[in-house]
Amino acid sequence: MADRLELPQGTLETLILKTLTWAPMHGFGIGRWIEQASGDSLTIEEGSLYPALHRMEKRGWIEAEWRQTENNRRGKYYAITAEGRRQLKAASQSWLNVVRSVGRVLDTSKQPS
Amino acid sequence: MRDPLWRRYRRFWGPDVRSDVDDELAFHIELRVDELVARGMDPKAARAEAWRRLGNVDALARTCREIDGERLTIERRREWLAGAWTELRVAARQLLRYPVLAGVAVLTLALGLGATTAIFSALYAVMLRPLPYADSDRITRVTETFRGGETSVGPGQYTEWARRARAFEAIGAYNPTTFNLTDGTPERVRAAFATHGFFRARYLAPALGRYFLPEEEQPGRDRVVVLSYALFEQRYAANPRILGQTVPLNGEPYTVIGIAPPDFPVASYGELLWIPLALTARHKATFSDHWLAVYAKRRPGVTLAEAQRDMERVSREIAQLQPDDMVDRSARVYDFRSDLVADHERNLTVLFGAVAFVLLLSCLNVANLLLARATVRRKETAIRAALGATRGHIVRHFVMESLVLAVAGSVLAFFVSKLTLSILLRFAPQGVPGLQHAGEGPMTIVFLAILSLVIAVGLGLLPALRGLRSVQATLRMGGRSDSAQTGRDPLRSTLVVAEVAVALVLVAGAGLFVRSAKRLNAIDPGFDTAHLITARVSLASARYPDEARLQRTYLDFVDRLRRLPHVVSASAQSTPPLAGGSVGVDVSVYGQTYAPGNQPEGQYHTVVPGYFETMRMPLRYGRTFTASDDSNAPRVVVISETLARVLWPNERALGKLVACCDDGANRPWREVVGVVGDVRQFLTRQPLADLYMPIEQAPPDSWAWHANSLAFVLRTDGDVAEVMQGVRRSVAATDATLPVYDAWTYDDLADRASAANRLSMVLFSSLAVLALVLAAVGIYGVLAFSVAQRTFEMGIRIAIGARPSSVLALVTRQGMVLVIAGLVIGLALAIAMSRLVATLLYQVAPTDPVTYTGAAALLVAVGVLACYMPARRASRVDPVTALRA
Repeated sequence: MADRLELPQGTLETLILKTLTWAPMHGFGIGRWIEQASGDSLTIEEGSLYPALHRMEKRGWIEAEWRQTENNRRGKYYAITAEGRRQLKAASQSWLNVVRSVGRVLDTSKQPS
Repeated sequence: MRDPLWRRYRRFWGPDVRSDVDDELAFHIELRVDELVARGMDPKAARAEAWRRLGNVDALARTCREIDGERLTIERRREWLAGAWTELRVAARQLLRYPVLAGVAVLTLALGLGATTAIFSALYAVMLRPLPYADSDRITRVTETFRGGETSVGPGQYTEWARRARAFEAIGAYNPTTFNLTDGTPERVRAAFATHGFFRARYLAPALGRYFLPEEEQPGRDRVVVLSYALFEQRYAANPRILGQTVPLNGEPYTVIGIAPPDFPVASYGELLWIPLALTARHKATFSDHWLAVYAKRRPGVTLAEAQRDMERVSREIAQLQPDDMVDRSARVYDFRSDLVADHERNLTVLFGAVAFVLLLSCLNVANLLLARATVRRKETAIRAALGATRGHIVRHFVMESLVLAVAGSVLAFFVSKLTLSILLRFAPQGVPGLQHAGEGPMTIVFLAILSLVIAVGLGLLPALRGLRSVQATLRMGGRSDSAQTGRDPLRSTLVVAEVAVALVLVAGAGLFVRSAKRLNAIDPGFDTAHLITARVSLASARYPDEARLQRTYLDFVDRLRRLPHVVSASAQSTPPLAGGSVGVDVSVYGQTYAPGNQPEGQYHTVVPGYFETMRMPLRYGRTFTASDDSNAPRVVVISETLARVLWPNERALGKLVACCDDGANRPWREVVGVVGDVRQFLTRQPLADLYMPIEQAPPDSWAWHANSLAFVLRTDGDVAEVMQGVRRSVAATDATLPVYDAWTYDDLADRASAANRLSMVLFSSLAVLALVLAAVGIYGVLAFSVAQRTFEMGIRIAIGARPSSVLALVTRQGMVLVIAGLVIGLALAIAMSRLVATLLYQVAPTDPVTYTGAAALLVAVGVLACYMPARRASRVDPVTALRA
């Protein structure tokens, strides 16, 4: 297994929103998808995943619904709301800005004058 | 580790946070176990591994549940608000379907709320608004008392107070005066002598410069002046360069050292500038003259009662030093604020009580309207309840309706209150402290908002409870019509009784003020006020050094005024009636001694010959003054009937000798040559004992009592303004620096004297008319509704032979019973409350039987009228139509 990375504050919520843009999903599925999509370099702790989901529901970014799974189990599925999409757009924009800026600084070869 | 099955059913009763979180985590475990098993793990080990990964599951579940709990609260609140908003829109739409009813209700509420708010803002401005002074709750007014009555303070006493009192951190003396201000247009300005302690006791930081220093209270260093902000703005265009310059006061230069801030002073005298009160050593040793007002600031933590005890101690100490001058004398302290408003407190609270009654009346009326509607809509309410609306929903529905009414009413009421207040401010008597601030600040709006909310809830609860109570009964009636009901409604009947009672209180109150005003208008002041004007001039400067010069100048003025066009006659007097107070003096009678404290007192007046003729005062005995009563002639006086009666109850006054006013060495006896009719110095008070002296024989000291001034009186037969212009031109021709002031027609003066009563009368009468209309609408509403509900019954009565007149009587009786009940309660209430207005009335007993009989009769008449219309409709019911319905 590759090195595990720590997620910066607030990033988990953005990743959850991104995950839910594909389809409504339950907590377990969301965690799995993020881990897989990151090439297993990210670990999503249940201890932070579920509080994050409930907080996001409170803020109105996602909404929950109980559904039947194929295995005839009842699972709590989360879906992104319009508010959540707005949030995702804003968050990913600023995330990319940070990444780009930090990257530019690290890549630079000029010595400061 | 599965949840017990019963937990699943908790969700049946609504969202359940606990089972939601538990289920969600259990589901997670299941999926994780599946995953691990699929990778080849043993199911038992897989389950253990799944739980391990979840970590502290209790803490996790608790966190999630807390978040969910918060979410539910937010959602519930949002849902309630959305529901309330929907209800509000529904309520507004429903009310719009009954525009007349809604309009009447909104208008009624607006009038009641508006009047109450206007009076509240006046009351708040005068009685409750924080004073602008620093630590205003510690400001105290201190007076001397003589035999329990309040008197001004002697300079000796003040000096000892300042030295001995422990209760105060600052104490200052104050004495109002007037000055001729002669830079630019000459102006007579109100002013005050004040010590530096006055500004410390009533402290408000100066707008510019500073206040007095203690050393500026020494004679010779006291030529400094503090200007009021009003004078600074109006006369000096708010130019700060006036600071350090000199201004001429009575011809003497004074250096401007400071400008007081706009809110200073709050007291009612309205002075425009202050100069230092310089007490000489002789003043400080004088305990027998009393002419100062004293203000102090109590030390922090010292109560009014403690200050009072302290001042009593100080008074006892002074009495040991000056036993002769302190007989029956002590001191009293007053809280500055309550003392300031003492004269107006009663008026304002009575007025506020009256408008509160009107508001109550309008609420009763609207409650009545809403109850009527609730009765009609009983079925609707019942159906709502049956379909699952909770009590809360139904109450909310009704409250929303009254909220719409109250909000609409209060928006309108805001404008009503603005209007009422502007009328009030225009007609209010002068000098009510703080009244000019009425309506300022957020308090008015806050008051209106709270009041209308309370009313909205109150008005909504009444019909809501009515609606809830009858749910089952209504449903049991099924589809049958409501016509079987009697149409009698004890709750609404009670409201009508209350309305009549309240209306009677207001009508009776108005009646008392109307009768009071009649008495005031019928007062005979003792002289003819028609076409009579007065204007005052003060010869206060170095140009008029002695009394010979003063006498000559005033006699010349009067000669000149007599020759003006449209002047029938002219004269002058030091203190003419209705234009202010006069000077009280001790009067001695030749050959008679009085016990100490029983010396008779007269009101002193200097007059120019021709005065009694100009005023058209009746001469009872003897003669009036002529030009030959000059300084060389024998000394003479004219006295009023009252003084004649006081001095010689059983003898003729003519030819008797009296003395007054001169100091011991030079006290000539003066012969009484005439007795004239009494006049009223103050319109609403009994005539005083007047003593008149011809100008050329006036005692030299007397000029100082009225600041070398005399007031001209002129009888005219033309345009008053034109004559007044003539007076000003005539004075200016002699001395261009002399301001002409206190210029009035006697009609104005008489009006001013009765202004307070007239305002109360006008306000009470308008409130009473409003009350009558509201009560009439209330009675009419209840009866009309009852008749409409009883159409069926009336039809039967007429069908089996009742004559229209007996139906008429039946309905009228139903209404009049309520009116009479209201009258009885109202009369008791009005009589019980009447003593509150006793001090505001003039020569009318607060229990005046004529007023109460009249008010009751008026209400009976209004009641009959309000009953007649629905009764007539009842008597004309067509039995065929009624029974078929």
